[in-house]
Amino acid sequence: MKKKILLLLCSFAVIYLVNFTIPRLMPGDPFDYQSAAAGEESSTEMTEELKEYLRSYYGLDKPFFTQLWENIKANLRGDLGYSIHYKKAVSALLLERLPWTALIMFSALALSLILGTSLALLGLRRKKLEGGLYALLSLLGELPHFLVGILLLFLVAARVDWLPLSGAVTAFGIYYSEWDWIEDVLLHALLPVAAMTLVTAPGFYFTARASFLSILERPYILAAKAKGLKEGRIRRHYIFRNALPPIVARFFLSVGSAIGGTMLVENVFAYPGLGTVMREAVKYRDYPLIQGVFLLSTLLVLLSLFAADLINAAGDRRRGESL
Amino acid sequence: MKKKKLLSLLLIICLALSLLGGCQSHVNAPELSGEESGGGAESPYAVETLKLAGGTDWGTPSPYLNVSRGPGQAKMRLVFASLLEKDERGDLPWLAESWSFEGNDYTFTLFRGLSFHDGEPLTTEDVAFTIDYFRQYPPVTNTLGVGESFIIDSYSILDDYTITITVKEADADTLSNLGSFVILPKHIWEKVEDPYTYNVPDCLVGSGAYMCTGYESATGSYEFTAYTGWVNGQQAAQRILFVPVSDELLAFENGEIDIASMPADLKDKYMNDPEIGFVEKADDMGYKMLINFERLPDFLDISLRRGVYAAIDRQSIVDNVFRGMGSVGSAGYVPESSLFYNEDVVKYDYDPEAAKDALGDGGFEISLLTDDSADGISIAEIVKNGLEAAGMEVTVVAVDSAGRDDRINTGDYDFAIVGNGGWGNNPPSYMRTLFSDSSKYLSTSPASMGPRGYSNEEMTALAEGQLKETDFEKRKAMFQELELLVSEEIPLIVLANQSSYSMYRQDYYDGWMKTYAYQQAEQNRLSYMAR
Amino acid sequence: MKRIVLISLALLLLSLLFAWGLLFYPMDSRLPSGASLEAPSGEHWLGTDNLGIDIFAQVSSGFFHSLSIGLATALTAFLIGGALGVAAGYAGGRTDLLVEFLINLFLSVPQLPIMIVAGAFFGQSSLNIICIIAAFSWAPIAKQVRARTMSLRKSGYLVLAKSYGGRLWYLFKTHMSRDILPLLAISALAVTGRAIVQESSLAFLGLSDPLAKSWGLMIARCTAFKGIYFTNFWTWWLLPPVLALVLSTLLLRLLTRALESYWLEKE
Repeated sequence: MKKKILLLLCSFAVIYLVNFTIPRLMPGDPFDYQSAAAGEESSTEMTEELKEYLRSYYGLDKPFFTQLWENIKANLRGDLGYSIHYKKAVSALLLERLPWTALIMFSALALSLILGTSLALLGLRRKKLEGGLYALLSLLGELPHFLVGILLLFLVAARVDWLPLSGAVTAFGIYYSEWDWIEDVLLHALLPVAAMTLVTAPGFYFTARASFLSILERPYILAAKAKGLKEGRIRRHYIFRNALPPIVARFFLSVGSAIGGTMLVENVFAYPGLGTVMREAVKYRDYPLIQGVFLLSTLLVLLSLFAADLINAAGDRRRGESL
Repeated sequence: MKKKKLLSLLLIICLALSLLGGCQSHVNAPELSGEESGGGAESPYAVETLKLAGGTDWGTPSPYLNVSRGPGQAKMRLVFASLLEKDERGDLPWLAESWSFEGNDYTFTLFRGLSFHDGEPLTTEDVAFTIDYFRQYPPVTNTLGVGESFIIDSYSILDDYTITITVKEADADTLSNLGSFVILPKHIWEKVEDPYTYNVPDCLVGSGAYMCTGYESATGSYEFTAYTGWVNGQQAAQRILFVPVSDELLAFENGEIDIASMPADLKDKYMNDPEIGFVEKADDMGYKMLINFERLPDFLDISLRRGVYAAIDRQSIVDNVFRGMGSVGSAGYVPESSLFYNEDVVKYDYDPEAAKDALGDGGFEISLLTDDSADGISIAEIVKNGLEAAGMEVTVVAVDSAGRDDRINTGDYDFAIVGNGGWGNNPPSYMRTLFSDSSKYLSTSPASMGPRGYSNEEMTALAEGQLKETDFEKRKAMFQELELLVSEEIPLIVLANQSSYSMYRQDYYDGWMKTYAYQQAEQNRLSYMAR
Repeated sequence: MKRIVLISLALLLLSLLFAWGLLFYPMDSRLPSGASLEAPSGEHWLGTDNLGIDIFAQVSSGFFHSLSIGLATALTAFLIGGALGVAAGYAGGRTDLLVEFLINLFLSVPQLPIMIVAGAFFGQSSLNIICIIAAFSWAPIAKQVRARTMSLRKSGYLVLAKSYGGRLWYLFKTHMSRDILPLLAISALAVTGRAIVQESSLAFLGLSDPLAKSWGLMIARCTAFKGIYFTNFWTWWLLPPVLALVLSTLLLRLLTRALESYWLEKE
């Protein structure tokens, strides 16, 4: 375990450094882009003097290591800096966006877990179904998230009028009760979550299936069967409980790819989460914001990996005891 | 309805979990009362609401917090008023009822009864405070200059309504610059030490005709409400909403928004619809090609530059890329539809044979820089085909716009295509930073940056001279002379201009307008005023 | 075996179709050859996009763009992953620790955000995209190979061969290559499919080579077209690249799986 923690800390340090360095090495700086670009209606001129002024205001004229050191100090205080493009505290911006990304991502992961596990259980019971299910899901799991999103957008959302095409809530919507609002949010989240789930659920199906199969071969199941316990009871008490840890671990292991998937799907549905803001931050060379999004997603992924490790370790221990 | 709920139910648990943090009330239905809303006889407003396409976060509409691009600036300027405004013909009273100038002294007299959105009176005290404050902390959009180049020397307050501002050196743009900085409430900002991070609700207390009453950053939605204490005229709408839409055209068709830009391929459909009105942005977007003479000194030979003009099928840019909405650019830079256009500029035709004669023997191998937008790349392809047919070897390099800007600013290119808006602005003051040797690098934007490694005294004299000329006709003549010179000397290649249209339903609201200086209907304050 | 042949045949057919589209189909994939948004016809098989460029020509050239990116990425990942995996598994000790750390590092970082930033930083050329995707594809290969090498090292006959003074290259060639190479090849094939998907995702975000007619870019352009939802343009503009992408990734995936099971059976 100690080794794991050390590894996580090292990974974090490396990622933090990379994350700090890369945006600063990118061609262009945050103030260049503010000037003008193709497709814009008006160009606001920014003189070199004003640019210098702003550069020193944001501390970007200081030597690299001074910036790094100040950045670390500020981060340790919980200060993520100030977005140059949006002119807001990065932490405030992230707090606005994070709930939406979390909503999509965790709903999709939870749904995938439930769906994948149920399908695996179903497959165990009905062998006939299993072959087709296996083939179908292994194909579905290979599709890119954004593509499934686009297909849903064109084939479903554009055909029916009660599904919104984009956004997270109706703009200036009028709600007569809290339930109205929740319904609105759910409707907007429906397709992004569906797109994610379709691609993520197969992974859970395979994990659950493998886990169930391995438990079925365990001696205590055979013993239970020999004792003449009812199928349902065995399934509930022995198989399900013992097969669960790897599935739950999978939940946390999937966070890494799910973050990426969510970011893409958000861009398809113009969903106001971290994905859309990340894309803009890169476009505008907004260093503090790029770093903020990055830091947040890295933390989330590393912590999830750690959680998965803990669960796996606990599962192994329990299995060891029950043998 | 039932299906909806069933599907939704699946997600409820997760929702409850992830939104635990943000559990504030979302119930906002208006209480029902006998009062009927709408444009009835009692309402002073022409329409109750005007809805526009939002969806992009343009920042808090406050002078230090708005995003510096056009739409961000325009929203801030709804909330904050400046001394003067512009209409189709000229300058207009806005906060200042009247103005006069003599030498370097500009005197403005404010309307009586002006107030900020919190009810505090707006006086010359506030104007003076704003000047000092902007001198110390330059706002996002700044017409007054920074540091040494701050244009105001001093001011003197004559009374609560009259102030005389003395500039360091008056020129043709001074009145416009003085008339367009926005006025801050002194009683709020005098306590603020770091305006760049001051984003408490107070920062929205403005001096404009509309108050910002709603802003949500994540969804890019804005709500502006007419300020009842505004004294200079009547607002056209009680509320202006910027709502996020998934598809602008679909939203316009469904009546979710009241004005939208018209796609070129559907032009005929809408043009024939009598209910639809238009505001044209004639030739406002333009593409030019810069030649880096420092790297390619051969091209200082004018016959080569004529050859480049002859090689490029510029009409095909208009036809294929702009889908017919636009025109081949004038070699004198100022577009044909402008007030300042000179009819006598040299016109260069597409002539592949002549191009081959001029360029064929050079054995030139160049890279052509463009941004990665679809239009930018298509134009680059057309230019490349033309130049290759004339015997050059061209490699297109496409990078994102920040990367492109960086390369142009540092001179890391051979040929570069730059597209930007504002070509239809009047007066064409961009001519100065493009063609004057002394002002060429004033701006950091490639859009208004002149050709590298090229200098021309005559051009510089004209480009700088027009700024000193305060007589309109004489200044126009100087611009036209400059255009002629540019078209003869070809310091850069003008490719094509793109026009666009905003369309709206005439029977609902038809107050959309463009000023003589600026063509963007959605971004003009007067579009939202009863006139 | 039969399945492998069948799938390979399907892949071959697909490539032939697109090769024909690239080489003999009269329309250009870069220049306008018709009016804007023409519906499919005898002249333009799949119609034209908003700039009047033929869609079939674009999809065809997109296929080879995607495939070459996929293969190049796979090759790079194959070389890095194989080399590091063998080195770690064979040498053990510090080398192993370092490689293990690198593997874990690349497996644990959130890939997409890094790719977005790296894509914007290194510029949007195809070469850079290959490097970026390869950087995130070698780790699983290395992990597999490392484990395999380790078990081989511990197994009797390698120890025996070593005690006879076998040189490293010789050992690799005769003993390990037989066990490891097929594994590597199958992993590389899987990487090809995944790289195609990732490239199209990046292209959709506008971070891939903007000059290449990649499928992701076509999809992005189409979805960004104003009013696309209430016309039927998308049926010939959006669906071809989407279907081409789905079909080629699925075929690659099926082939990988068939090869995997074939190899397992043989063992």
